[in-house]
Amino acid sequence: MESNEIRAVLVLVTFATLLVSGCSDSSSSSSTTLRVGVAAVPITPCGANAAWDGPVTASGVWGESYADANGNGRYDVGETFTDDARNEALDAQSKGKYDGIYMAGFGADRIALGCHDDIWARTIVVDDGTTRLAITSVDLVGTLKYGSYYGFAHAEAMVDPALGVTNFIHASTHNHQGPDALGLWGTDTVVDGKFPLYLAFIDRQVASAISAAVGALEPVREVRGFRTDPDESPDLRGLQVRTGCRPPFIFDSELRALSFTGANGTIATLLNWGTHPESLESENELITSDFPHYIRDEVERQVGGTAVYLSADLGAAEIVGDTCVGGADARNADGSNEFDSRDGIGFPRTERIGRMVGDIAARGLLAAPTIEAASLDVRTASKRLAASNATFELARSLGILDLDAQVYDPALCPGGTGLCGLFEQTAVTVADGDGKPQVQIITIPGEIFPELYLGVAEHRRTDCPAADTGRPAEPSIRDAMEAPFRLVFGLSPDELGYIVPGYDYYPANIFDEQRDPCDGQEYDPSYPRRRVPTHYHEVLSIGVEAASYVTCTAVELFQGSAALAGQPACEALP
Amino acid sequence: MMAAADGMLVARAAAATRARGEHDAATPFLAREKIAGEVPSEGFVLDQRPPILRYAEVQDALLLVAREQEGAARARWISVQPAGAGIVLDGPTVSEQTRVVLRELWAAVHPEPGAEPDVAAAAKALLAALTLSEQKLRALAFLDLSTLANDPQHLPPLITERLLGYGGQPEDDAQMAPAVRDLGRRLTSRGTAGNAPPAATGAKQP
Repeated sequence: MESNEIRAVLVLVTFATLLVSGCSDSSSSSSTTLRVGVAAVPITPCGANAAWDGPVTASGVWGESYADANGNGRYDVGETFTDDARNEALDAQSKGKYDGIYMAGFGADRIALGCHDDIWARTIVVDDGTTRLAITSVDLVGTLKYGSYYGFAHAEAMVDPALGVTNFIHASTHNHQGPDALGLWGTDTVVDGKFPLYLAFIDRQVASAISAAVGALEPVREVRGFRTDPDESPDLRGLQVRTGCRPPFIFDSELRALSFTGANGTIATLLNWGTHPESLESENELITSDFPHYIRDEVERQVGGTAVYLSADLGAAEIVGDTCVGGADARNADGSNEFDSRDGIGFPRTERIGRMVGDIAARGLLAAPTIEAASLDVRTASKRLAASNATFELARSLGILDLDAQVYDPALCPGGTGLCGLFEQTAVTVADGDGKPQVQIITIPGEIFPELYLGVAEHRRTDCPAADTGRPAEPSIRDAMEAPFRLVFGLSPDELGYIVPGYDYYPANIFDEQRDPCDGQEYDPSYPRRRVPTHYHEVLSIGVEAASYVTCTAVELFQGSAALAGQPACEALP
Repeated sequence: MMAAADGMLVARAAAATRARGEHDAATPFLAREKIAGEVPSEGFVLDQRPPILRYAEVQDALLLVAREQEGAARARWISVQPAGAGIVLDGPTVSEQTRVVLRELWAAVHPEPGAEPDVAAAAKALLAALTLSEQKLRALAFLDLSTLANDPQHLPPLITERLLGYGGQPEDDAQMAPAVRDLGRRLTSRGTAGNAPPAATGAKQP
């Protein structure tokens, strides 16, 4: 890796020029020169919306109109429909295909029957006088920056340059109850589930959110930060589980929250937690932002302002009640866990989880000390990785992944074959007047396993030496960050799949489909339910080297290329 | 997934898939045709663990099932198909060509006791599967061939040649052709270099 690929913008703004006069009114010792603006723009695909120019079905959910021959209230393969030519104009493969709101995550053909609560594009803009950073979070399972006809790059292009945004961060919450923005969940896994007109609408709404947030910029009087214990948080215990109980049974359990207060109270809050938003599971057919809706709502209710939620290092980390249930983990002192069952799955349970997490964040913020925030340092890196997982190449070939042909040109990767992925990462440091980091953010273009953030050397399986592939441990991202508040924005900007530690990476094989050498074995006597499952995540991982790429790049962004010396996982990279 | 199955059959869903209890979902099926292995006859309930493959009522599908004995006389049938690997059919049966290819693949993956799986036979069957009428089977065959290609010895030159020329025959899948030819090129480049399989990933600055 070359350090000249890293572009740094470091501006220390003098307090005298931008210091907010009201700051001295605060009883705290906080000082900040920042300005912040926030906006929330709905991307809910139901009912009336002045920005929506596409068709609406009889149920109110957006989609091409169809003849409901079997009267079940949804489109089924074989039913006649009105093929809207505007979809075909965006994606030629849309011709002859029903375009509607297929819900992302779980199995195919889960078409939305209604909308329970809004899904959003929410943007917070932070400005230190020189750098203007726009951070946008969308309630989607994941999307692409460089889609052929849609994606965050298209949204960026719609933002008026006169608004002066110098840096963009985009992320998806990984919501499993929103529309398909990747294409993997149509009527079958080999049929594109994207609705082109709707994705173009999302781009417009993202651009609107960014523009509105810039327009709402106001001086910040106070920044507060809160985080739970990074290794063990009793309040949150038992809410995260590992997919299928996959070892090691560890998480990044830290819930992080920042608040920005202006002259009229809280402007915005930034919330960051690492587990899959899929508490409503596979049977739900109503669009919702899942538990982040209730987390945001609870924080807004108690703290005020507009809440922006970003998912963190959630690879293999699922919300309780998913696949590792029935005594897999305790929550209460008596060993019980009221959520450790699939019986109660539904909106009341989701609300309980969301409000509980939101309450922890809100109470934490209200009692938190202030942070001195004087400058913004934004660094970015772009690297290429040829996918070794043929699933991605097949999806591109079938037109399920609609990738920008120039950005994803195979010729840009060694060998000139396969899907040539672009890994973009951003590192942000908010420092105090002495240049000491107070808040740091790293973006990850996929679903990174928490042990890669925490450090594989210290957080790894010990249950099955035979399963160790021998690949070197990737460096800890967390250890490369110096600030007391360290945030991870997962699925940012892209969803390039799971990012799995190399020592435990098992690619698919027709005769031995990701079976672990210790498949089925118990690995914790205290929890007999925890058994080694087959390796699911590698099926949706772009390749084994992804882990080295993102961790080494993160370390380089924060510490410089010299910090990679002595890291075998980084030195082994081409 | 074929290796994990006890049998393969064509069946019709008698009702839509429904979640059942904490750990699984159930779909009532009516068996229509045995393709290979040990399969249920007549009506049976197919159990699945999450994430669930959803079958609609009266939907025909190719199923890979495993038998789990419950007591002396009762068997439970479990799906071994992971999420996304549902093989829904357009009609109540498969073509003779599909039947033959699937049985060849089954035989390669399920050798006689004491024998090793026949990788060469599997590769040949997978190559043939790239021209089957069911798109899902073509896609799964491509993915399995890609996995086998991690060790080029699994795919002899004749197969590589066919992959390189894929798309030129009327029965070839035009959409999949670029990916299949790409696989052939990767195999060729490895063969030319005379190396062991290289790391399948690499970096280059944009």
